[in-house]
Amino acid sequence: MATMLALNAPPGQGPVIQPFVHYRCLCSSPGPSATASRTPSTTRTATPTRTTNKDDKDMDIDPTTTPTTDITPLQDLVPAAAALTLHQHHHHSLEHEQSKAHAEVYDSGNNSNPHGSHSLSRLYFCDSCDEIRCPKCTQDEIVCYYCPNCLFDVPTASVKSDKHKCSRNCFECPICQSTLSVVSEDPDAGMFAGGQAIPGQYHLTCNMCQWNSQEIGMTFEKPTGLAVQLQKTEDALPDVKEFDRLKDHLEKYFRVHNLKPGLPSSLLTSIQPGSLHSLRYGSSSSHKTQPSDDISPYTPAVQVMEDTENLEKLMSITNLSETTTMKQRLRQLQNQTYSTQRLHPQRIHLRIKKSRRCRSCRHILVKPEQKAQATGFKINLIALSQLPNITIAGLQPMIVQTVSRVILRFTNPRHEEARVSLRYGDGAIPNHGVVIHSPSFTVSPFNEVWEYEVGTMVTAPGSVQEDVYERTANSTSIALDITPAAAGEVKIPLLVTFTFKAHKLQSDTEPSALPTQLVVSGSKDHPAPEIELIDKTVAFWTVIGFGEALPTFS
Amino acid sequence: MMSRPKLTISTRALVCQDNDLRGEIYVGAGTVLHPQCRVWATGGSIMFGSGNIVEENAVIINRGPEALIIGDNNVFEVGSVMEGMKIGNRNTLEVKAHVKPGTWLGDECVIGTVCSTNENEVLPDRTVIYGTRGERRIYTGSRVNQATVHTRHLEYLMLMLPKFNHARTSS
Repeated sequence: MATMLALNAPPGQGPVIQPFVHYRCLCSSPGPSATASRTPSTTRTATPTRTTNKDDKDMDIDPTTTPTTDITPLQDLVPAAAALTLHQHHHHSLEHEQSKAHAEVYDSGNNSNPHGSHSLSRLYFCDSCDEIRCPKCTQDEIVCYYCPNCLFDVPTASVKSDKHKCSRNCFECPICQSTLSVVSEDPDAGMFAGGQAIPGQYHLTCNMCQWNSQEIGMTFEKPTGLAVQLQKTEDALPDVKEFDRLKDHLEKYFRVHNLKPGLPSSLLTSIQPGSLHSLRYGSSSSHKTQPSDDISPYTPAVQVMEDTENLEKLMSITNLSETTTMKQRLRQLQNQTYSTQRLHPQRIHLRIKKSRRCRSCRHILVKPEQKAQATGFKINLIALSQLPNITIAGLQPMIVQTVSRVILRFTNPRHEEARVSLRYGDGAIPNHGVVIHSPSFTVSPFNEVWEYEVGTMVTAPGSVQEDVYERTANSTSIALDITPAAAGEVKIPLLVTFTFKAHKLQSDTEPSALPTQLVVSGSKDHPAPEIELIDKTVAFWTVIGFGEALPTFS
Repeated sequence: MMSRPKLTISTRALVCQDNDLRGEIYVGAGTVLHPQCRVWATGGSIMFGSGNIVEENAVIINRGPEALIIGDNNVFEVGSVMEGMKIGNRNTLEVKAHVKPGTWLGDECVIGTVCSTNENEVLPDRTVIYGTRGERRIYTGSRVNQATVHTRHLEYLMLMLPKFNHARTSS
C-alpha cells in the first residue's frame, strides 16, 4: 500500500512522477566527467586531479599509480601529456587497466541525470566487451525479407524487382489498410472439382470496413497469383509508364558518365557508406569534365490533368468521406488519387528481420532465425537475461528531510551465483542522503524450477546469511534509507558492481569448444571438468527514481 | 428477484437455458440465443424475427415503452450491446459493438469491433462503422457470401448447441 501512496500524487499537481530503474549505457553518458573520460587530450587534462580525488573516495585504484605519475617530470607543465603517459602505464598491468576501467565507469555516470539511460528491457549486454550496449551503440543489419501475411521468405535478389511488396496473394485494403481476403461469388467453388468456373467469380473483400473489389469492378478468374494478374493493369497505368520512361531517360545519362548503371536504384535496397561516397564524388568529378546541362530535355508522354479540374471537384465536396485521406493517398504513391473510386488494393509491404551488432567489437548481439515462420533467436544477448534485474519492491512516500525506506530487489537471471556490491554516487544534484544497509550481497542463481514455485523460497540454512532484507528463489532484496534533500523528483545514481562466474573461453579457447566441454564434464570417464570458470566483474551505473518528494506532511 | 419472463418461442428456434431473459420476449423461427446472453424487455416487449444469432454475453435491452422489433438474420456477436429502438435485417454487431439508445439501424449494417453508434441516430442501409476512430462508410457489393456463411452458421449451431445445452420452451 505504501507504493500506492507514493504513486498517487496530491490532486492538482500535474502529472504523477513515476518511479523508475534505468541502466546507463557508457556511450551516451552525459555530464562533464563523462566527456573527460572519453574525449582526447584537451579535456583529459582534468584526469589526474580527478584520479587523486577518487583515491580519497576509496576507489580501488592501486597506490602505485602515484609513483608512476612521478616518473614524468613534466606533469605540472604539461598535464595533458602526463595524463597520456598515465594511460600508457596503466596498460602495463591488467589490474591497473581494470581499476582504470572502473574509474572511467565511475566517472561516466556519477550523476542523477536520466538522459542516456534506459530501462533494462531496451538494452543489450555484449559478452565480449562486458559492457552494456544501448540501441545507439549497436547497429542493425537486415537478415531476411518476408511477407507478414503469408510468411513467405522473399529472396533478397528478388526484393527489388518485387518493389518491396508481396508478389503472391496478399493485399491490403485501400480504405482501411487491413488485410484483404479472397472470396468467391459461389461459396461452393473449389469444393466440387470439375464444377464450371464462372468468369470473374473471385474478388477481394475487407472484413474490417466491408470494402469489396467489385466496387471498382475488379474481379479475378482464379484465386491464386492475384499479384501477377493485377500487375498487368498496374503497369498499364499512365503514371507508372511515365515513371519508367523518366527512369530510362536518366539511366542513359548515368551510363554515359561511366557510372555503374542501376547504382541509384541499388541504393534504395542497401545503403553502403562506400557506394554513397563514390556516387557523390563520381558525379561531381564528371560535372567538372563535362557540364551537367547536356541532359537532353525530357518531354513527358502523358499530360497531367489540369489542376483546376481537381480543384472544382474538391470544392464541390460536402462530405469528407467522398475524398481520400492522406494515408490512403500515400499508400498509392503512383497516382495519389483524390477519388475513392480510383483507390486500388495494394500489395502488402514486406517486412525485415534485423540482427544487431556491437559497434565496438563487431560481435553480433541479437540474431533471429533465418526463417520467417521461426520466431526464436539464434543469438540473444539482451541485458535482461544477463544483468541483475533491479526492481523497486517497496516504496514509502518521499518527504523532505525525513528518512523513508525503500526496498530494492535484485533478481539474477544467470545460472551461476552472483555477487553484487552497491555504491551510491555522490555526484547527484541535489545530493540526497542515502544509506545502503547491505552494500555487498549475493544473489542465488536462476533455476527454471522456481518459476513454478508459489511463495518465497529461503536459501539453505548452511549458507552464510548476509544482512539482507529478504532472500527468495533467485532474488535478494535490500533496504535503502533515503533522506531527500530537496523537494522534487528523487533520483539517485547507484553504481552496481556485479561479479559472476563465466566460462573462460573468449579469445583463449574457441567458442565452439564450449558445448563439447559441457558434454565431457558430464561423463564419468573424464572426471576432471575442463571448464575453466573465471570471475568476471562488470560495473555499471543505474539511475533509480523514487517519485516526487513532498515538502512536508500534507 | 425478477418475475418469470413471458416467453413465446417458435418450435424451430433454439433458446438455451442459463441466460438472462426478462419481460415479454417473442422468438421467431430459426433464431438462436446462446447461453449467457441477456435479453431484457424491461420496457416494451422484444420481438425477434427469424434466423438471428445472439451470442454469449451479448446484451439486448428495450427500456422504451414500445416493442423492439428485431428483423431477420441479424448477428449479435460476443459482448455486443444493443440498446437501439429498431433494427432491420442482416445486420452484424461485431464483438463488443455498442448500439446506443434511440438508434435506428437499417438493413445490412455492420457495427465493427468495439465501435459504437451515437444516441438517437438513424443509420442508413449498408452503413459500416469500423476502426479505432469509428470511421463510417456506406459499402456496396454483393453480400451473397455473407448470407451463405450465415445460413451455415445457423445450421451448425442448431446441430451442435442442443448437444451440450438445455433448451427453453414457451412459458
